[in-house]
Amino acid sequence: MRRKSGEQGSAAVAFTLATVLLIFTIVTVYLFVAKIWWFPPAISQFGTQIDEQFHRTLIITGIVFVLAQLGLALAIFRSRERGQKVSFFEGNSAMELIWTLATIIMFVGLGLYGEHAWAEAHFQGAAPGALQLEVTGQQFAWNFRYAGPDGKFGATRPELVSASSGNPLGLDPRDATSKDDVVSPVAYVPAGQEVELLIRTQDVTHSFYVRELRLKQDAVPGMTIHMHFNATVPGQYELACAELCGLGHYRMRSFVNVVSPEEFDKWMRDQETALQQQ
Amino acid sequence: MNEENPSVETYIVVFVALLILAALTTGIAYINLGTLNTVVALAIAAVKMSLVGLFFMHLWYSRGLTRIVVLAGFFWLALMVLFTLADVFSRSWIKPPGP
Amino acid sequence: MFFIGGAAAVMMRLHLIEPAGALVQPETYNKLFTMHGVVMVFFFLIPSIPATLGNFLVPMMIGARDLAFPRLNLLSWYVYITGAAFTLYALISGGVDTGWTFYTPLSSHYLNTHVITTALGVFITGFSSILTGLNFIVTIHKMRAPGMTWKRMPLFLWSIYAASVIFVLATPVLAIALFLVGLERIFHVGIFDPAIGGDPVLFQHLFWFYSHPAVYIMILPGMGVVSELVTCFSKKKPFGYIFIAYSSLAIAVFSFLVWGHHLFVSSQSVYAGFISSALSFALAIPSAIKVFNWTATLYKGSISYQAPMLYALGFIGLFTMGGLTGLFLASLATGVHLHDTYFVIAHFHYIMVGGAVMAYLGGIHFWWPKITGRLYHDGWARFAALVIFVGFNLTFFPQYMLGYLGMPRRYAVYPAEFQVLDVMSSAGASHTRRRLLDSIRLSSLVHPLWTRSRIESLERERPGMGDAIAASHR
Repeated sequence: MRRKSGEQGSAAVAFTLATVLLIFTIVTVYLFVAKIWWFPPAISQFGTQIDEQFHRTLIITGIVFVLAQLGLALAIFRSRERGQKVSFFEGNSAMELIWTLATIIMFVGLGLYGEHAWAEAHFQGAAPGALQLEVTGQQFAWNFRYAGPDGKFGATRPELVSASSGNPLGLDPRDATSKDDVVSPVAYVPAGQEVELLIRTQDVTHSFYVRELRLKQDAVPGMTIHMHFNATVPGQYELACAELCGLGHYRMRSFVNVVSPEEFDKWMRDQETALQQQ
Repeated sequence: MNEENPSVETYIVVFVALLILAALTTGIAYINLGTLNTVVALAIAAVKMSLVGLFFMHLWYSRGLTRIVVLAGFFWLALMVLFTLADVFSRSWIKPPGP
Repeated sequence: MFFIGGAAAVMMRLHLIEPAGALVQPETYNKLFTMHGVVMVFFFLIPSIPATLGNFLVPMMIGARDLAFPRLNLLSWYVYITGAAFTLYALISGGVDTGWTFYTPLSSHYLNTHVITTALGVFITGFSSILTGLNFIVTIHKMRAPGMTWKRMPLFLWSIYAASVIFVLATPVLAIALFLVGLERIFHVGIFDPAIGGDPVLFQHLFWFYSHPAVYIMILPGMGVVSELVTCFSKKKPFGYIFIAYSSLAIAVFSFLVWGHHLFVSSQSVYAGFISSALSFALAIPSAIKVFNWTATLYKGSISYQAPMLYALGFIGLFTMGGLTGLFLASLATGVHLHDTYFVIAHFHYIMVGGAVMAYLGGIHFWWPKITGRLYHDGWARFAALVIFVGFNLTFFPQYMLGYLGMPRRYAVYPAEFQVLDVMSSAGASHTRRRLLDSIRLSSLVHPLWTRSRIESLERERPGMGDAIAASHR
């Protein structure tokens, strides 16, 4: 086996190590507590719930983290090689049982508790009368579609898709319900009103991600995925693609503008007028 | 490890059976059975797989640990299929409102 | 291979110093992170500990002369080289940019890079993993020396055994998934194409059925190494041997049930998401038990801080961090926000680099004299261990913050508000590498006596990085 080293350097190293661990722990805790870099503010009920869950998890894991690191530092420092006798014990089933149970209760409890926010967003559909907004991802752009006054989305045909001629979604002109569909590269949604998203994609898997809404959902080929949110704080929020979709993935962005209901109605009227003039 | 080796005749019989089943699969592909198409094809495939496993891979003749290993393999396959199907089938449980 | 993967990583970090991208074209950036992922995961992390330490130690620890099938073992080495050759060919001839996950339909219909060559390389290497796993399982079952009962085996063997079970059960599924991607590309059979009745999410299911357990292939042997190191250097018996051993097996079994947590936002059914979230929390338990047991083993021991022990302690510290942040991701609600952001990247680098790589380095240092008959230089090795710990944290810690700020992964260009943290992360990355190289260079100047073993040891850790590269740096 190995010889050498022994006692002479051991105290210094143990001290350094314990200090490094302590600093590591303190800096970690400080960075999380001081919130120098923190979440962008949440703008929906769902977002707030997620933040609360994050905080809960942070506090519990924070305590576990600090205790585990301090325990380690203590063991490192106290039990350094000083020529002392090793106190010999092989295990302790009661202790094992206690910390196993404690972890189970803590982790499982935390997990189950955290499903609330999720369940509310996913187990319930959008409220009746929610504004329907179709989002379509394609390489590498987002397009939004509003059903227009008739409240119906018109048919689309993939072979008609042509961004250059102003029909990025491939609206079928023969379908009467598609005539009044408003298509826009950026979204406007009224603040304080439920919005139902219909997420689709024309080619590969994309992911609809608005940080402030804490909302992320993949757009999967062949499926229309329903999500809903209720944004309360007006502003312009960035929409990014969060699932690698090819070369232009990083520039596949758009904006979701949360505006007051009046502004939204005005914007909508403008769009419809523009549509009729064509 | 006291495996008796199957005789050559067994091998030939199994081989012929496999050929017949393969022919059956091909034949049935020309007849449209509706939803039964997949079911029948998979059933025949399962029979063929069992034949290969039991005789060519000597599972019929082995005991103990070897069988446990094989069963573990099937168990994990079942897990994979189960969880994947659990996703696919439960997707439509929540009916989204709207059009 | 580690060197290639590492170089790609440093290129990426340097590139991300500037918001607009400083170094390479976005196209090249996509290829870089794909290569980094593929090379690191399939060609370094998965085979690292089993193939080097495992092959050497398993027979020795159970008192056998060799593995059960020595020729199969040799074959698996050649198979590995063949697979690596394919992947390197893909890298040289233009690269691939699907991400290491090869998600369909991006990989099957939309990209014209060398997807098939790379997938073939991974496919072939998969067989190498299966053969190795098979070999270990048979050896541990059948070739233990008389009196070496299961419960007397060193803990390293338990973890290797658990990892081998995953190797054998999971790898074929990856092979099938990649094979199907190849079929899609060439024949358009439509397994993953919704236009003719396929389902793109099916690929994600198949892929993660392998790739989640694969994470545990990487970390389990690392845990085994750490168990050995901790007991040896604190001069004690492991605290709660049975619990550590069984938690390895528990991890192996549970790891197969949680892949759904990679699919929280992939339109997976909400019920399936619910179940996989709960199971993911369950999976955190055996890992936590291990950490507690290691600390208890240290307590009241007589610890000598030689280089391998430093790595082992680093492992425990970083693994705790990585494991706990995993809880944020396992929780459905927060998982949605953090999914596919830098938080995930930081999390798995804490597990993979802070865990698996630290354990690997520690293990190599620990058994180096046994393998080669020469001792590495302990002072430099300790220094390197500390530097890696610090540099690593500097690199990946800011990425947690980037993550919950909402920076998505795989972006070649990012908004300016993220710059401070990105620069910190990049500085950490180049710092780590520079120090690593410096420590080799200095040691070769000051300590001519030990250099050979030191360089050799590093040579082994990162094949291809020897004097030439150290000299060309600066």
